[in-house]
Amino acid sequence: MKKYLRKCRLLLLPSLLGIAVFYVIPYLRVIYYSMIENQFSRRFVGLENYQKVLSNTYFQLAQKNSLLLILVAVPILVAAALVISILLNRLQRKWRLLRIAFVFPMLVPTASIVLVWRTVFVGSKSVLPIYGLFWYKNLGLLVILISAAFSTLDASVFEAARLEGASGLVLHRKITLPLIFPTLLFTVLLGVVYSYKVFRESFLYYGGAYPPDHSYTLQYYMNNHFLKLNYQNLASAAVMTSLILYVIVWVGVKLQRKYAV
Amino acid sequence: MGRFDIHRLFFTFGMLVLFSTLVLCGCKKKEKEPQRAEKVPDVQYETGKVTAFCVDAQGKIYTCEEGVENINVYDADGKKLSAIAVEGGTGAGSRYSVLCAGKDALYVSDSVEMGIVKIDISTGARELIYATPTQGYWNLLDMVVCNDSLFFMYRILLDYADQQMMSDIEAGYSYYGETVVCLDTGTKEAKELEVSGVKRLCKKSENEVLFFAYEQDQGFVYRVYDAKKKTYSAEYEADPELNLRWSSVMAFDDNIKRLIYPAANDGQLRAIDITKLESEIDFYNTGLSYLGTNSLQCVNGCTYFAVDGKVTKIDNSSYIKITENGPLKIMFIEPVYPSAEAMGHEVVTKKSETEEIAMKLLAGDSDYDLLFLSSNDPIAEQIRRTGAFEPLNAIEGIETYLGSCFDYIKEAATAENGAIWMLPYEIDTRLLVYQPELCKKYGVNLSGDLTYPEYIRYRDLLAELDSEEKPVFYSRLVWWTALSQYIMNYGVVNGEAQFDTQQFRTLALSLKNLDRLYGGFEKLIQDFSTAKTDEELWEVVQGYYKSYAFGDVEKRELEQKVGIRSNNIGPSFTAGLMDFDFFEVRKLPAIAEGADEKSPAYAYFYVINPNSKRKKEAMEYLADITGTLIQNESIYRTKKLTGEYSKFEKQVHEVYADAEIYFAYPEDVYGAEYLYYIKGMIDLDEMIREAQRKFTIYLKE
Repeated sequence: MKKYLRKCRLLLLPSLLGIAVFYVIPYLRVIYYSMIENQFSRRFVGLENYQKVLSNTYFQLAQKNSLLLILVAVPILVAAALVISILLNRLQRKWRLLRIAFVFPMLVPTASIVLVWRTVFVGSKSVLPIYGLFWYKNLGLLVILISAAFSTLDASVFEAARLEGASGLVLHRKITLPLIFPTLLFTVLLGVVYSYKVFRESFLYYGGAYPPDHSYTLQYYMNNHFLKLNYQNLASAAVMTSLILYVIVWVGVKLQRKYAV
Repeated sequence: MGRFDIHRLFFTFGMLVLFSTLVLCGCKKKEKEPQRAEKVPDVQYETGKVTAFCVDAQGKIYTCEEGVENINVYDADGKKLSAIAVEGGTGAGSRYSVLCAGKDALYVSDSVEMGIVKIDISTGARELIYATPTQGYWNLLDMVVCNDSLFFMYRILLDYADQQMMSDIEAGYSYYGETVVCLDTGTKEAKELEVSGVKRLCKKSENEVLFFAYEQDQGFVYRVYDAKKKTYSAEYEADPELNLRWSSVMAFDDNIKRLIYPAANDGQLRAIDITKLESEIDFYNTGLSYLGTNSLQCVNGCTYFAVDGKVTKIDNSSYIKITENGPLKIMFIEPVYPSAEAMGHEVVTKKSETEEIAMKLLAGDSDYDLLFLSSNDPIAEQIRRTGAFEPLNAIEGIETYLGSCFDYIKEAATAENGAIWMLPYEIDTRLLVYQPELCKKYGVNLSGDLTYPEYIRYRDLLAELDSEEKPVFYSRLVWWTALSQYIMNYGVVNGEAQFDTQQFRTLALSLKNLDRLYGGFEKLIQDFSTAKTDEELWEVVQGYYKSYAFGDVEKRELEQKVGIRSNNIGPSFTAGLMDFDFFEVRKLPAIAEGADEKSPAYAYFYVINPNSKRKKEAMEYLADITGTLIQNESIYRTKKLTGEYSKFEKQVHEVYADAEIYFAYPEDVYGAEYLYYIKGMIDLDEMIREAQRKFTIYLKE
């Protein structure tokens, strides 16, 4: 057995090394940067940078907008993807090819989409254009993932449930959702990650690093501090953002353990 | 089955992280200490007027001199050793044009016997060893002895059409019928070598000859011929931007492994590492505008060249500063370009972007040594603020230099902690030039206090005159200067953006219609093309400037030369505003009435990368630049001038004295809205609202 475990460890080594070099060490370095005055003087200042960042009005605004994006846009995105997937699943086999259409937004260059978006949302003073871009870009992928999860479901389980008298919503609530819960959780996490990536679309849509207050997200805050060479602010904000993401993942894992079949 | 021990896994993973960190840290290369040679004094040979010369392997030089029938021999220290009584004389120094020293013999191009002649060094006996293949025009260019063979390149007179057909003018290559011949000095057997498009040749080592040539599909290339094995090396392409392709003569220094050659038309000696062909080292100014065939030779680490009939020997390692760690790399962000001479340092320049430089600073990259930036680039201020620089206080003479500059330059170059963070190389500010008499005629008064609204009103007044010539030249970019001036003087108060002010509204309203461009440059070009002589051209340019009452100009426009004829045909004349004494100069208008505002000036400067591996060399390079800057005072930066200057120059100096270095904010903070407003795409209120909002975020985020 010892031999077997040693083998396991050896096999794990290459990927662990990759994770260490490309993720863990840079992350530790970011934590280090967040605790020094700046990377040129390297004076240790403890949590001073965190304090500074947390008390900054624009960090608070960016944090609020980013969380809103996660709390509002991501659930809508996942819900829409789920509904579309269910509808696609009900379609006859020949119509299921329709799901390919949902992949197209991922293939269109962002700059082109933004150009169209600008003509659609002329004069808009709300977050809708950015939320819309977020949904438009990511809906397709989520539909594909959830549809794939549907296709793996065992039809006999549904047959049995129907025989027991379950139908419609009950069938989905009691059978479908628990069975595809891991995939749903994955799409939620993917949505959260992609909500951070909407910065590119937003940057192009507003044509610069200073969008209206409602669309000023953490990425703007970090990007602007990067160009100001304020790496300590950037690092502190990044560490705090990663902590929020850990909490989200942790909650997701807990939920999965509780509800997944 | 045993449990998978998660603690052991964590332990292994932790060890891995530690190990990887140590390995990555250990990968840091140890910096090599640069080796600096003591400067060896130049030697100027006590010769008559030299018409041709060559150097042998021991460093003895052989000269043909004007009015002298012998070939004189000088030792390595420049003292005359002896004279070779050449059979038949030297034609008072005019008969032999190209000399080349071999073992016990000299080889010369003989204009009487039309060929190459071997002269015995001990007896002076001569022997024709190669007769020219044509009775017509035949011109020997380069000649070297290598492995008991003579390699030379000659030109013959070509039909114009043939010459054009073989040339690639666009790429900068002209064919003049160059042919390379290898002549065995023992058997006198001559053989043409297949080196198409050859431009120059020189001796690389005892057995190697280097050919510099043009290949149609590759551009300029070099290849090395091994005279012993009779084989060619691969071809190595030369960057078309290099001056190398314009060189009139070249030699190879086998000690420092660099090709030596003069630049296009300035006699500046340059060296290049032929294995990389990327960095040209400017290392010595011969003072000549052109170094002709056979006027440059390299032996034993020394370069020999003839200036005004005198041969000079310089020790290359005294001037060329080569480091083991490779050339100094300077990164710059356009539109500025590092224009300082390399002064013997091996320097490469690389264009970059603000984001790339920010990333490099973040990553602590050591793959570049210096930055050349403008204070107009927002990263400049961030470098100063965050300390992303190597202090320059240790550079010899930098305190003296900054002390000699206007106080505001020194202030801008000094960080809060007293560290000198940059070396200001050039300063630029916009100013007004005007002709008082002409202004008076048009009812314009620029002599006293002046505000932007008044200035724009005057401009409109003259621009709307019902005459063919609009007597005002005006840059549309003045709106940008005015905006910079506003931000510098009033834009930020106690960390708060100040766009919603009456001052700014007045300024913005006056600059609203700046999209009209006035000026008579087209007319100048028209008149210019009709001028037949230099005098006529002078009149045209003077007439052009004389018709203008006033205008705002940048520094480059003061010195910018106009009047260069295309294709170098016809008369040529160059002049900038500074060449005419009928202009007066004053500083830019003020934003607020009666206010003593500073003009925004931009500094172009060098910063040393704090993570550079060649900090010492970079410091030495900046020390050399500093030395040159100290020696050359300038009306644009020197506080107290000592030289003689015109009234115009003195006025320019006064304007520059009353400026301040402006460290710009990013353009997208306020510039985009301002431009939209000027173009009439948004109204004043919207522009102010947006500019205020964005600038506030910038200042407070």
